Amino acid sequence: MAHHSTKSANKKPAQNRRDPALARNLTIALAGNANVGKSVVFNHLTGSSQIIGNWPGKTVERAQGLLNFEGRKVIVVDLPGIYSFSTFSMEEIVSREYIAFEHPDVVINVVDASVLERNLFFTIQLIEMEVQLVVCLNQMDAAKRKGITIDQERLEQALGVPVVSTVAIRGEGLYELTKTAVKVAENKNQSEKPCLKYGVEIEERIEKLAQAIKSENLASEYPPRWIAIKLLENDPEIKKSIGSKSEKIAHESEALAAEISHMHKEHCFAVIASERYSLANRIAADVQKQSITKTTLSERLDWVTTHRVFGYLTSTGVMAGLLLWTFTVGGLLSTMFSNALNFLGPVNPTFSGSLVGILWNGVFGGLVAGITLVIPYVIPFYIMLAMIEDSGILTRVAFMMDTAMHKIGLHGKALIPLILGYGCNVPAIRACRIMETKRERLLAAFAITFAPCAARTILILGLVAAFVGAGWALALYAIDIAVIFALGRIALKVVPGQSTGLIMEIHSFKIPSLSVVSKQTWARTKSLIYIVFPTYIAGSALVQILYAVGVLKPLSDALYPLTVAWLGLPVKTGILLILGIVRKEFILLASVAVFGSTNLALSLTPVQLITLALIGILYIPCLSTIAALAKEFGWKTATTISAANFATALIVGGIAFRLLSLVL
Amino acid sequence: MGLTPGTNVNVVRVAPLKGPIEVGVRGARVALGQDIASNVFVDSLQKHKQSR
Repeated sequence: MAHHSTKSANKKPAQNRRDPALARNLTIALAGNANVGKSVVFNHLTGSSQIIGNWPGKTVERAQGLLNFEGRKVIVVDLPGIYSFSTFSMEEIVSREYIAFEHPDVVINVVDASVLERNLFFTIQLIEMEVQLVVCLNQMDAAKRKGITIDQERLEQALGVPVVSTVAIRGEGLYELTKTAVKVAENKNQSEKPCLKYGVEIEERIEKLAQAIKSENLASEYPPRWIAIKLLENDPEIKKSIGSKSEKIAHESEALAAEISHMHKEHCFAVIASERYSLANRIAADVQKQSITKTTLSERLDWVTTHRVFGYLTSTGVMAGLLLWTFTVGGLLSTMFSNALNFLGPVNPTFSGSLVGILWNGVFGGLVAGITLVIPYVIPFYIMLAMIEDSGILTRVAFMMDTAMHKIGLHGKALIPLILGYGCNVPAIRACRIMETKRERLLAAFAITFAPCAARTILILGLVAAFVGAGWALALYAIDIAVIFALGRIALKVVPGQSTGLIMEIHSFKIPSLSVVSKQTWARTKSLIYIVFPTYIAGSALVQILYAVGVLKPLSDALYPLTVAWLGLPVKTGILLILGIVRKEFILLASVAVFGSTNLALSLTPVQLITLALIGILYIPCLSTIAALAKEFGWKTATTISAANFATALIVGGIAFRLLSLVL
Repeated sequence: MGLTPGTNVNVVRVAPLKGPIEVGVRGARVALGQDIASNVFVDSLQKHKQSR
């Protein structure tokens, strides 16, 4: 192929213009399917020099790091894990635009050696994009365990690009990989670009279309052959951009696609996908040998975790274990932290005095709450969850729970953000991005706003388990899950649109990687620092002032019809509920001050304690969660969801109060 | 995910309660929700061999 000359002509200057300091640096992009060990390679290469942000204007994470390799400064960009360069997801669009517009000097395609054929499907597409490519044949150890041997040289010949075998988790082969990548990057434009050919009748048409594109001289960052393939695949974005430049090409591509689809009695895009897969199949079959092996440990674990009885038991066990671990470790750490902070000065929620004193008390109180709640509970929770996730157990739980999730219009994958919500709602709402459609992200986020996060759990434990009984605390948990379900079903009816089905790759079990777990935990907890902490601090200072100025009491008196008449609570709880908007565990902290005793059973009846806890859980997502909702979905949605929570709390709370009065 | 016409597919397991179906395809294993799995049309390989 001779048309990469046009590409290299506008390549370097563009980069120079952008940032002169980076002109002499090399850029390596990591690309590959999800869960092939790409992040492990990335962490190994870049160590602690990572910058994690978003792709401009997209809700897709961009990870970049710096590598010093034998005197060279190398920028490493970790592209999202994808299976194809279509427009099925934002990740795919971001990745292909990055490769086309920003021209990394070399792309390392990380491939799972134990699933070579499926991974090659993507490798072929990278070759079609005419990038400087190095294939990293990762997880060679897992392939060996499955009895697969791969002839590396043969694979190099078949693909026409260098191949390096690695076991990234142990760092094996990564030096060689980097060396090869740097060599390829520095010798670019010298090597002949490989080209994998399709079947004759398709290849002829691709060639014809590519020639037409070349002769029309359409300015595009993408290579002509790639554009030709995408046009035949009916790629909406490429079609639109080419269609606006040349009607002739658009017509020709449609005619050619119709010919192909007529010949094969299939849509043209399906024919091309099939061809690409059969190409991957031929290459894989040619280079790998499969010997018969014993049942692996992973397979035995698979049997247990997806069994019709043991599967549900392990799923429940995993969840229960996760929560148990969180509250055991969290309780310990929290006591430790609050003892340490109390040393600096106790925080009194109903403090009065000078304005500065009040403000300081609020700010300090918010900070203490952040430190004694977020760090001890949420971080251990997320560390353990990341381990469960990386090991592959969570995939099995999602597999088992798919049916249940369908009842609220979601599929098994939504389990991950929902479980995150048990730690803190804020990162959970962000994690809804893994869902395919906006509708599903919205439904999942709505369900999350009811998930019993660490603060809500403290409320349940502090009000109900401590003064009424552990059984009632568990019952509240159960009611909360029932509410999630009921509301999820209602939301499903209200939000228009179709549900998408589950398509999820099931990976072999593996030992979690420390670097992946810590990175994942950090990615999730950092939103706590820039959303939860500021909200806690500012919100606490604000309500403290309102309290001191004396606005809260009349406000809570005005709530009389709701609190006293409808919910049967003492009028003072109005104050608690206003404070609780900022942070829910405030309801517990402040009630000690409001009622003037640590023994809340003296001031509240068991029915009132349970009702207050129930209302506290449901009545509004906390201020930080509302901010997170607004950030992801806009203020209108955030307000609607908050209003729905409020209505739910009133209905459920009112019924609970009346029913409980009959029992207790 | 590699489920193209003419591909060999084997069912690894089916989750209980009308749950998803785990299939082996092209050396990888993929879980498919019922609604998606019901759009995968298959023919028995055994039968295919016999009729030849």
